[in-house]
Amino acid sequence: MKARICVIGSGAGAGPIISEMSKAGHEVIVLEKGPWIKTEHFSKDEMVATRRSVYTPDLRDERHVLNRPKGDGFEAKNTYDIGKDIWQGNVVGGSSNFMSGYFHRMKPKDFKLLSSYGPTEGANIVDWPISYEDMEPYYTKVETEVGISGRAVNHPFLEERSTEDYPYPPLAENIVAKKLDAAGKELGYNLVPVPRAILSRSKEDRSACYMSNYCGSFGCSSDAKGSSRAALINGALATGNCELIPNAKVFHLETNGKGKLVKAWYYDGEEKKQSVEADIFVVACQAIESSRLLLMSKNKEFEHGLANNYDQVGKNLVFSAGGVGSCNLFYSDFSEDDAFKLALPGLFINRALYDWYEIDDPDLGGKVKGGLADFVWEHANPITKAVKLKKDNGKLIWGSELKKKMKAHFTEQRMLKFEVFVDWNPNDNCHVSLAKKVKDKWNDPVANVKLGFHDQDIKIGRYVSQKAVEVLKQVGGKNVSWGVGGNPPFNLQAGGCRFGTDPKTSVLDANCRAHDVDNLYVTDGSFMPTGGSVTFTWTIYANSFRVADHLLERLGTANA
Amino acid sequence: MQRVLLTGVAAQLPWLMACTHDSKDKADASLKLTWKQAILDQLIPADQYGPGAVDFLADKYIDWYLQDELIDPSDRDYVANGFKKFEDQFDTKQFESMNASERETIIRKTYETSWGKSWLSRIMTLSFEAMLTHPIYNGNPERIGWKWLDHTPGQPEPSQKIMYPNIFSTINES
Ligand SMILES: Cc1cc2nc3c(=O)[nH]c(=O)nc-3n(C[C@H](O)[C@H](O)[C@H](O)COP(=O)(O)OP(=O)(O)OC[C@H]3O[C@@H](n4cnc5c(N)ncnc54)[C@H](O)[C@@H]3O)c2cc1C
Ligand code: SF4
Repeated sequence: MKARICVIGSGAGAGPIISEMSKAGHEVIVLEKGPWIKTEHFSKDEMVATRRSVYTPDLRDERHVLNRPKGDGFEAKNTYDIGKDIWQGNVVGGSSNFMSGYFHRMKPKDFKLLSSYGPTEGANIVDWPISYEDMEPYYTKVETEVGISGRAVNHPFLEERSTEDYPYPPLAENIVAKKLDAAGKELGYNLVPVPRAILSRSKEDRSACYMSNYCGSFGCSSDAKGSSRAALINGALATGNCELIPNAKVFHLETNGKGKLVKAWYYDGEEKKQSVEADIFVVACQAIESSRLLLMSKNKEFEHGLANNYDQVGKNLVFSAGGVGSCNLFYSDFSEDDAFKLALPGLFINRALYDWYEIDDPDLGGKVKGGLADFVWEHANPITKAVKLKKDNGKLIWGSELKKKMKAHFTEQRMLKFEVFVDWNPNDNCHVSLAKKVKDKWNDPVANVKLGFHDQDIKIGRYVSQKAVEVLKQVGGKNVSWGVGGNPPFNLQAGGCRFGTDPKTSVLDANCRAHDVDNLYVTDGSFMPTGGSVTFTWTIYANSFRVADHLLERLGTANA
Repeated sequence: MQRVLLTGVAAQLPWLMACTHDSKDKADASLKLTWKQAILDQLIPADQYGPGAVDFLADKYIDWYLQDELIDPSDRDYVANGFKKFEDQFDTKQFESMNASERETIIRKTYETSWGKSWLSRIMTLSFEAMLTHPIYNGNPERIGWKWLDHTPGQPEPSQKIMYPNIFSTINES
């Protein structure tokens, strides 16, 4: 049988399905809301990448409502009014085009948080319906298919690997990586090499990374970055089985009155309503928008929204909790040779502090789930860098005082930072619903995102940050500062349609198929009941390959 | 699509031409500043630390920004209204003939007003864009902003086809 599979969205959650199903000979049709920006259209132009809305919608047309904690309650504001844009990348390949590609696998205990650490009051923690062992082959598949470079070294939290090492050797490193290793040794901490979804050697049509120094927020001009577009979709298109429709904003999924999905309705580039019929539908619009689409697709059969018979869609949204810290490495504190090497642009750091992935501290009540800290450089884009310098203690500075500060920041030091990742405890105050009044330009209700967080996220974030601060100081950093708060990083979103065995407490089954709709799958980060203390994208890719295997089992290989 | 339509219109506007300069322009500008240039020069002066806002063509860059139809009119009005408020509150002819320390007093007064505080911050950000953008946008002439801060630009650099806002029509044509 040759099935027609309609995939909605084209980012990390969509790519593996698009690629695997096309290669197996099935007819795949991709509906992507954003335009088709190809490799040759990318440059390191800060105006396009970060100063104007080129990769994301205009907030006048499409916005979100954010319902944020305020005092003892919550306050709802729309993102246009507060000038806060939470879109991440609405183009073919989604935000995976613009990620930095720091990739970590979730650890075995992350799959069974509840049974490993017990319940946390006020948090809806559950075990996953699958284990690390079930996911391992797919993590490995991502290493070869998407392309991950790195070096596996032993450390207390190294997960079991079915292969000895990464298929691509580590990327070239800045001298600061060695300094971090040395600082770790002095402190008795493990600084571990971080794998990246970046090719250190060429792979088929994709060239190796040329260390452009502009990675996060920028599209890749060599296709070394493992975006869903470069790594998976281009190959799918080459099979001749995949059709990609850009500028197609899906607004409704239609059922046939018998619990089966039959059509995806979308607005095309000319704002005309169109539809696509298929046997299988796969939704991967990134967590918030996927929940929104299911909630918008209500009808007589599904009065509360598609796959929402138990009011679970949109619930238990999670982000990556944590904090950030920074310091200045003043060149004058290092030898001339080291200072020269520290300043070299492009070379990577790729180190993380892993020792507190699990914390055993009586002050925290015994063994609890912890997190990790990734060490990174301040981004190179100069306008963004300059904007951060315009105030001292909240007051605008100008004149020669400002210029002196800018000159020193740009030429006398390099800013070393860390980003801490810890679990965002799923809770009753963090979810997606449909806004009652605010609509997008097509008159569809926008997503209303409630952003309650759990105090434990902050506690653990602070704990791990304090350890990372010690490393910054040990490496010679000055002006060390850090902060942990409850504001989520919107680029790392998951949950909302969590998977599980009980339809009353989950939206999807263990294969990411909707309990209530036999031919509907959701394969972005929405399926994740908990997010682990790592960035999500490796897990999103791996899971999508896993679901593709299930679909192949269900449908058979059309080529066979 | 609204955006593509606007781009089509926008691409025909002569703002980029209006932003071009030659060295004669620059020499004249440093002799006598307009009041708008003088505000920007006070925020980012040419001094012992390096070139200033007028050298980066911040005033012309802001004019370009104000004419960009893709940008939310309320954002543009905010910037334009700040200049109007400044004109209402101070004698701009006099401001032009003031020395730096007299101008400083006026800028401090502006910062003390509720509108002035955030408006000065906003035009500072736009001046940073002028200083550190790719020269294709007619700020940062001859890369003086980058050179001043020893900044190495990323490769590839933008071309006419893929710069903002032309990139919208390029994508749609491809
Ligand atoms: C600057 C940045 C840095 C990052 N760095 C890292 C990192 O270092 N490590 C890491 O693991 N992750 C990182 N990420 C996160 C990573 O990009 C995401 O986790 C990943 O791309 C999510 O995949 P997704 O499929 O859920 O969403 P996306 O990749 O965003 O894809 C969703 C797609 O769905 C489309 N869509 C939405 N609604 C509709 C609709 N109604 N109809 C049709 N299409 C629709 C969107 O346009 C988009 O193309 C980063 C992200 C950003 C932005
Ligand atoms: S060339 Fe390397 S550093 Fe530059 S965007 Fe691509 S992957 Fe990132």
